Amino acid sequence: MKRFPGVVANDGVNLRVRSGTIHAIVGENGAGKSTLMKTLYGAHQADEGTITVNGTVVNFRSPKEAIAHGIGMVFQHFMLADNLTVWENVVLGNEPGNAFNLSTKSARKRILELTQQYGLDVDPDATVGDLGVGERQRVEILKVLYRGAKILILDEPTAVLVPQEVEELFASLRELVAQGATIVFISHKLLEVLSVADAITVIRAGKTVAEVDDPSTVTARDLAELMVGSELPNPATSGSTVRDKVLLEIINLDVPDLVAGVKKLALHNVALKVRAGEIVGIAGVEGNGQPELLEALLGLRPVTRGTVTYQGNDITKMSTRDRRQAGIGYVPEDRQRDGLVLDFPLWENAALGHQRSVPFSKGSWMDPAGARSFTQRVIDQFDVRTPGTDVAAIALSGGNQQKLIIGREMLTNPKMLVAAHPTRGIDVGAQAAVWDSMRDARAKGLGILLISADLEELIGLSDRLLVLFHGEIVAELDPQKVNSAELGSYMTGAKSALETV
Amino acid sequence: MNTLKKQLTPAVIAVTIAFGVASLVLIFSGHNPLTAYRAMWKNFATLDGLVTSVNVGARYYVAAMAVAIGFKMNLFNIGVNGQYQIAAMFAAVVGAAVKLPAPLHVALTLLVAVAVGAAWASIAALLKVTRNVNEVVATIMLNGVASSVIAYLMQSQWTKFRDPSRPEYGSTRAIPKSGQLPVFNIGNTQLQSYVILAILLGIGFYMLIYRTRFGYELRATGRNPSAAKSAGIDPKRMVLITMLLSGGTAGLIGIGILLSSNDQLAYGDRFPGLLGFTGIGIALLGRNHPGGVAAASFIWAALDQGARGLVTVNISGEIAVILQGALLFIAVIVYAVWERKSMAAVIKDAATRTAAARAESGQA
Repeated sequence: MKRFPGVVANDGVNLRVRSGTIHAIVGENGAGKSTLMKTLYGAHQADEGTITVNGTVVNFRSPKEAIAHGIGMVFQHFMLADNLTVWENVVLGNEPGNAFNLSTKSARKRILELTQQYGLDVDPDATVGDLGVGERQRVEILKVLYRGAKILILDEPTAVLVPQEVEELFASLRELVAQGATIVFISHKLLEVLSVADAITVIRAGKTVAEVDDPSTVTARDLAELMVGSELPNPATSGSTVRDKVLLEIINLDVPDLVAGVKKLALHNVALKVRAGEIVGIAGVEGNGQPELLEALLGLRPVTRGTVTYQGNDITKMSTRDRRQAGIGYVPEDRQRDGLVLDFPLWENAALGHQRSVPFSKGSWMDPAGARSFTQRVIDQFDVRTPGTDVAAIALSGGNQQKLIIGREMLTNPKMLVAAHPTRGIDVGAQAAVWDSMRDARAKGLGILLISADLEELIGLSDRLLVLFHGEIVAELDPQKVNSAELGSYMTGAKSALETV
Repeated sequence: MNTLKKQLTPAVIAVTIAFGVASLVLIFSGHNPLTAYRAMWKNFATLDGLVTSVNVGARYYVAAMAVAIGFKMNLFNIGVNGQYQIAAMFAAVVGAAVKLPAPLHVALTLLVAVAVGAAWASIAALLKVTRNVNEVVATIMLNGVASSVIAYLMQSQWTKFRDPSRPEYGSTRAIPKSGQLPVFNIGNTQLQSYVILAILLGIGFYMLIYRTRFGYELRATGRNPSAAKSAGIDPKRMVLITMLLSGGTAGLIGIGILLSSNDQLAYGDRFPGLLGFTGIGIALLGRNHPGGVAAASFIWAALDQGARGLVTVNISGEIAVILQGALLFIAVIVYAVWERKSMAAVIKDAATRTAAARAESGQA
């Protein structure tokens, strides 16, 4: 067996990947996974330490040099041209033939060989725009293989996939490894890592904290505690604080899909109630109507049928501004697109969505002093790491931006909170603070509609769980009784009986 | 102050490079750049030159602020040119037709100018809000429409708007004394009180954009429309109001020329016809900030004034136009580069300060 010892030392990171294996790198967001990858791929240079590939010390100054050494990267966000075919996408930027003659035949032949050799099931002549997410990912992998990569780095490849696609991806990865490729797999989904990896490196705060050669000797809980370096916080809520008063009620809601030219519903016949003091969790695989539900509730998206009642009043036609003024807090799914103005200072961002209330404005005038002291409270209570309230939001890391948004919404005393992935991308300490604040507010009567991809968070926090599948609510579950596996089967549509609890 | 220095540095760099470019042009055309600049300076640095620069700068300033307020929310009102001309014509006609005591007369004329400018801009605004018509396309075409409407109303056989006593060129009737803005005599020249109007407008815009809730919503919409919408800011309402503000301001561009006794006191063929487009350039040069635009307006007007001195040394006055054009072009590039660099610096600075704060509080 050809041995390939790769050593990366950057801020004390050691990584040793044996050739012909699937090697997982796990760590929290911000632990340094991306920096490590970028260094391996030549997008960053290490300040200290060395990278060794197949026994040779290398120093990549660009991704081009990395690929010349057989290291290729598959990014989390696909970079494909939708209007081109699979083979056109694969050769893009590396076309065979000369400037006037693209040698179609040899390109197609080579791609067919690759798909057969590695068992990557994708039609070279299909248009990428027509492909599903799993197939697009295979095209990305093909792109890297086509360029001659033998070592593939995959950045959170399962983040965008539904469970069946994850299985297919893992099968492809095993096939790739069997054919002699080496895979570096970056993830924080521990169960997936345990099911596919041959070896695991855990990094925390830019340092390697553990190297696991035999994954069967560790549990997901062990890995999680290694990642975090302490006891994990627990999202579980204790006791019910649910009141009789219905805060929010949705009846038979239809919401159209806004993709041009497509006449289908993003949400169909959705009905739900959120009572004061209750957290209602919405479970679902990404792309089953969650953001559309939030946007419809905020008045950001038209509703074709049904009604939304808030505190006993029909708000179906109410403007977003009036809804927010009436005490509906909003944590959007995409924080940079919908939650912040990146080049505004933090205090102006803290006012966003609340600009018509004290302490952010007095009458027609903004109140910078009031807004700044509010922002300082958010910074203190939610541990936002920033030099001050006047720093532009763009200067904060993603996790700290998220903390600012959560803090802004929680400290403006909402009556109802509509939140998507409230703890996505934030560190464990802050996660505990966010959960605490949600639990406290719940005890005081806040109603929360929670969307999260983190099933543990969803099951732990929610008083009731609804499963959204293809835009419809297919199940209502008691989080006390359900487990992740069962929830998963509802989320993928494998089970869909609407059971009443 | 540090922030002021940060704001000024790119402008100084741009001005320096622009003078360099103009110098090269002068050298290639066989002139000594120093001779040219000395002649320009001589024509500018007199009492008359200064006062004229201020008077002209004021109208540039109003034009640029009309554009800048739209730019602040990514709304491109290219129609300022049409808006100010049609507003000036109607203001001139009304100002010449009524008989009122002085302050009221002026006030009415100003009101007409603002209302007509805003009304003309509202056409593009309504098209955008109701039919999603791109405001750039709509305002450009409305410039053409405005010219045609003016030409139609001022046609020679029709004397409703046109002054028959001045047949040699098309003009409205002159505005009587009671309708004129006062002027201050300084030496042999006259400083127009319109300058005060421009200053007040600048202060008003500063307060509106940076101090009020409306200004906050306007800036948020300009910077991130999607987040603004999530924050309950109605984008259509913002487009409508901003366009009306922009058009209303545009209506005031021609007022100084119209109502100051040393100028034309009427709207006609000799009325400046491109102030709106000049305003776009000056707004860019001044980075849409009321202070920056003030400086840019004055520099622009000073170059105009200086250019008239070039005849004395047999150099074409067009060199000033080249200077203005180069300045604008280079400024846009320098600002873009500067912005990117300073943003990276801000991020780095925040990161180091955060790390320092964490180390201090004993966190690893």
